Amino acid sequence: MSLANQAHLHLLLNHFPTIGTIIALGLYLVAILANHEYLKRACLGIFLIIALLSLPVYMSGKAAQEAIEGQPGITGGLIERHQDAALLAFVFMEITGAFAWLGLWQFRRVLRLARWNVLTVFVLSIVTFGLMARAANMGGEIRHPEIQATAATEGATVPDTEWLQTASIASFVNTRAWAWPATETLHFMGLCLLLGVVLIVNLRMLGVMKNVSFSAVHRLLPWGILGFGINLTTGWLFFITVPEQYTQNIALHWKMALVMVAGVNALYLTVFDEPWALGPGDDAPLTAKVIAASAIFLWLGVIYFGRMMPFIGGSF
Amino acid sequence: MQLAFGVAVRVIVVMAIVGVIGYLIDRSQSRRSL
Repeated sequence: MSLANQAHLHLLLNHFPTIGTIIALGLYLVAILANHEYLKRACLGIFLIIALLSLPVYMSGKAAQEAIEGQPGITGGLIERHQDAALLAFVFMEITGAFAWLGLWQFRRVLRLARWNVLTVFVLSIVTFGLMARAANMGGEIRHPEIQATAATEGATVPDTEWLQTASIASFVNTRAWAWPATETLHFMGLCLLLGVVLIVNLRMLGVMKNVSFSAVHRLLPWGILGFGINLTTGWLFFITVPEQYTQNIALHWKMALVMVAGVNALYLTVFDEPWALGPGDDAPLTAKVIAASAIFLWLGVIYFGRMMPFIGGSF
Repeated sequence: MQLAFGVAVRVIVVMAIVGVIGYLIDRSQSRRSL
């Protein structure tokens, strides 16, 4: 995908983490006050989907930067400040998504949402919304001088005073000999953890290990999510450190598209009643089998495109 | 050799932390359900 198209994608998707979060937060508050379990779970699902959508929002933002940097009217430093604010907001969004998923997983096992989890997601979503709105405002200032807090003069630069600085992280990884190989190693270990759980859970639905109930393999899901968390963190470190290797890499674009679909697909394992009803010896319905087969296909696709990044994407 | 050792130590530390988190999440369920 070209830089210009990614810039369009960024403009299209960047509203979801801000507007989506405030809508979900409002609904979540209503659900908490009314003690409406179903609505609470729906909100947790929305937080999780917004956390997934935030992945292409952040990545396309870097491509948008490459597309407009150096153009007339772009004040130096505004993009970097927006990028650093967005990174902090992104981190909180992903943590919110992780706790939302944990709440859904726990609900499936004990049929009620843990109070600590409900409150944690509530507090995290407030913080995330604040950070997202701040990052979005800074992003708007890049192209809209009329809303800049202090009007920037031609050729002036805006100092980057953000707490989490992308350039510092990139410099850290680049200047320590152990950092890149350790990140690569962890990325592979996270992959093993994730794919192992994906195979066990989905193969059970396809009819392997039929004497094991679905609830038994469902218990393994947090290990898969932890594997995903390792890969998200390490993958982001790669992207932040050498973004120019990735922004126009077609293999990475496919990989991320498959990650998004696979992430939504994984919701089926916890949100829907169908798989949970599978006891020892039970055969899964056709829908469950199709979803299980597609999950394996999608995650293998993620690995394939990840591995192909140097060959069809031209990275490294 | 020094690089290999440095990478291994850091990877083990991170995976140990992940293991503890996974264990605690799993343990939180063991008393209540399968």
